[in-house]
Amino acid sequence: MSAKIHARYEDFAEDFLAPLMAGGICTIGRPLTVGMLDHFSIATPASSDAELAIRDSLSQIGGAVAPARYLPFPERGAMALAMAAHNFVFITDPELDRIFTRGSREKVMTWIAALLAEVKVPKTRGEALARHAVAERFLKITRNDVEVSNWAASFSFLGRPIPRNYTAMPGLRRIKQVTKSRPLAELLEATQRGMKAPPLPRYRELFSRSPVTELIHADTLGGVSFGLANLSVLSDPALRHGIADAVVKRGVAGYAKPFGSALRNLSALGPPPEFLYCALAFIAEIQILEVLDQRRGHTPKSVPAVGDEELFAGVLPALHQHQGALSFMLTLETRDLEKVKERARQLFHLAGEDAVRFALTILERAQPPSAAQETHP
Amino acid sequence: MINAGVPAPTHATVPPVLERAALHQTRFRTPGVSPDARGVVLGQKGLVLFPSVDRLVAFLRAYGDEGSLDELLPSMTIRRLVTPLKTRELMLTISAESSYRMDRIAGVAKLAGGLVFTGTSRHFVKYRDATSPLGYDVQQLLDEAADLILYHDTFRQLYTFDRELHFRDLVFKLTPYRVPPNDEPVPPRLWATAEIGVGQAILSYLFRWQVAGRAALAEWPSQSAFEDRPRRLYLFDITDTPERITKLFASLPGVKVFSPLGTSFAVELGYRHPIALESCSSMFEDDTLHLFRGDGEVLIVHPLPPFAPVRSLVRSHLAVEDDESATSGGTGLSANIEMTLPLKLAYSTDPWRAVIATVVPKEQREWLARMLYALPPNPLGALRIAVGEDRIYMLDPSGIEGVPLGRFYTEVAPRIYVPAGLTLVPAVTPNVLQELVQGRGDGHVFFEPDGTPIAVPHAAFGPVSRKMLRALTVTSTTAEPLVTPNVELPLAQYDAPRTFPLWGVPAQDGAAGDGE
Repeated sequence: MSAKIHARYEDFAEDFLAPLMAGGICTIGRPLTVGMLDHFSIATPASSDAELAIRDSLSQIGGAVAPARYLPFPERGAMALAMAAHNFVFITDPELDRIFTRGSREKVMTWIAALLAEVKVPKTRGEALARHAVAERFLKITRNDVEVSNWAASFSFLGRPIPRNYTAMPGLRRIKQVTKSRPLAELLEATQRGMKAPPLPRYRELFSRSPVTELIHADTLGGVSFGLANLSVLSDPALRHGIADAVVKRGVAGYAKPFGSALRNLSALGPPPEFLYCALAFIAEIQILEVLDQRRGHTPKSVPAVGDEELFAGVLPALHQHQGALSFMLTLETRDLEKVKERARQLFHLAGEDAVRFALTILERAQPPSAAQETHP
Repeated sequence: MINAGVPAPTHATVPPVLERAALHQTRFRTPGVSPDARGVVLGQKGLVLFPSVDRLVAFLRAYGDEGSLDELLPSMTIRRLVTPLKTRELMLTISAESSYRMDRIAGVAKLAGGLVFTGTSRHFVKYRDATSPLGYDVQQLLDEAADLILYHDTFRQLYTFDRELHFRDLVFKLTPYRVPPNDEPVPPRLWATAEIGVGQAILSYLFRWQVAGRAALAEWPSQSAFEDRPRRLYLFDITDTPERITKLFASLPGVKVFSPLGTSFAVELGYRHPIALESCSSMFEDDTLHLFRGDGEVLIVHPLPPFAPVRSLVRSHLAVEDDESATSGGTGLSANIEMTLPLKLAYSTDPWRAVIATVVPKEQREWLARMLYALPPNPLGALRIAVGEDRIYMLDPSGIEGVPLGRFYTEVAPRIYVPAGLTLVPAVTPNVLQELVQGRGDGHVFFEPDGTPIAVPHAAFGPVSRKMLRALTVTSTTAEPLVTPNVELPLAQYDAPRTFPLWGVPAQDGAAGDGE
């Protein structure tokens, strides 16, 4: 059995995981189960090229967010995410719509759930970045649907290679090929019709298992919350800065609502002060970086804020008024500080006084980790 | 001549023309006349009849000497009249306004040999005299076709208007007459004109004797096609002129000295205009200069050319030799400057302006080195330095105050510097100064308080970093720019379809040992 599992691993690592990370054609084989995870978490591919491609991509993608001396591979959480990603692609196979195969999607969905359940909160920066690398690449996977037509008929090849005889003698047979690249989320949406357990929520759950990815792509994924996984990642200053920098590069406007809502929900739960600190420090750093990144050609947009966006926008003005433990965050160079203050004044008008006061109350409750430890031994 | 139009009137044979006006008389045969507040018969106009121009001029001169012609000018009209016998006379009409004014005119006119009348349009009756203090009225009006009919106590005359003489033309056509020399002091301010040939000499003379004055070049277009160039004259406005210089200029051929009578008109010195020009100053525009020469020519300078101080226009030469020792290598500076005309440095109480250079002696070189270590980046970057043999020249276009060493210099002209607190005399303009300093090329000229100016080649100046800092020994290393790899996107492709896709999947129940 273990031989079969390892053979499956070799196929998975070489044909799916390596192309997923380094780019190329990811061949989807038979689905993967949670029973294989133990083996997959310790195995390494026999092909050194595949291993090198995987490790190289991990370092590149993870290093773009935060410096990490070592990104563990194989890492159990990242491997589970990769296996779940493979299974997600598997259930989009249109061949599964045939008789005798229709139930397989439901079963694979249970395997996906089991795999995602195995992904725990990352404990190290390396683990978080390794998962982010896998999830980040998984977000970019697409399927090519090709429509081949000749003088007599047309044929569709959905995510499968085109046999040579279909494209032979293209001039004589007047062969035409129309290729459409479809992202995975679109395929899953088309697949979930008639399924008892729709795959999209699970698909969203996969990214929640990678806190770095979830925070960076909160503008498109939506529904982010400052849970334990996210806050543990944000407690690392290097990761927090890297995520904030990535957020600013993507444009802060789309993050106001999800992060404002997440902060409101976190505040309502009455969390420990250090939790509030991590969330507030993250939002404040985004807003400060947004101002300071003007030197690189980025200009912050002044979009009138409503609802949760008001709270998000109110964090920087509140921090400007704050005189407590978090005031050290505005210890900047004079010229930078003037710019940040000017931005705070703009955001004050956008957010409104109520939102700023609310943010200020949250700020008063927040404590940096060291200070929190002194207060709550 | 006065009664030329009427044959030999005699009191015995001809009935009197006029009758005396009575007190409180309100009705007159003369049209347009009425008694004024004093009961004097007065029309809207007053008319003075002169037999010749010299009498008219005598009247104008006498009236101008006594009062002001300016009050008459707005309503004054001078016409030449023709009698039916084709004799010509001159009339001067003014607005009567009041009998007081007419009394003054009548008094002066009698002195000049004129007859005074009053009326409104065509019929003028004799103005009052000692015989009839309230004036006269005609006994019978003449109904003849004429432009003007005058009624005197001894005659009545018809006149036709010949042409009008403008007062301004009259003034400009009159030739000033020479007045005998007297002991009156020369006026402190004089105008003078000089032909082109002697203009520069006058300039130098004025400059040499430190006579305050301004000069301009006036031009008039050619009067005929035979003149190949416009007429040009130097025009001088001289103040506080010593009497000897005035006499000298007045005796120089080609030079005319004028005594200003007003702000914009003057008569040649030693001459007097027949009419008191100062009493009719309103006739002369302020932006035009009228110079009445003794020979009758009137120089009208319009518009006024720009005047410049004499000291700025004087031609002088200053030769500067480049200091070959001031090179980019900083080997030294020791140029000598030869000045053919002494431009001197004098102390000035003016506030310091454009202090952009300093010269640091070699004794302060150590201090300068310490100072450079403490300078902020911006002043240090703007500082340009040239190292001489015994001194260091430093320039900072934004102000040299950041280097409080050496002697500060102000820039009086582009690349010409004088010590702060001093100024160059004569105070030539920057443009003139640049022309004076010849042969300096593109160098910077520093005037020394107690020596000759020194020219430093422009190429000798460079940033402090290049001039003062020693070269660094560096170790070469290799570095490549960070390249962001363009990673290919993953593309999903399914395996071959199977009839039962989940068959053969190991560990389906979660245990690695189970499956199939």
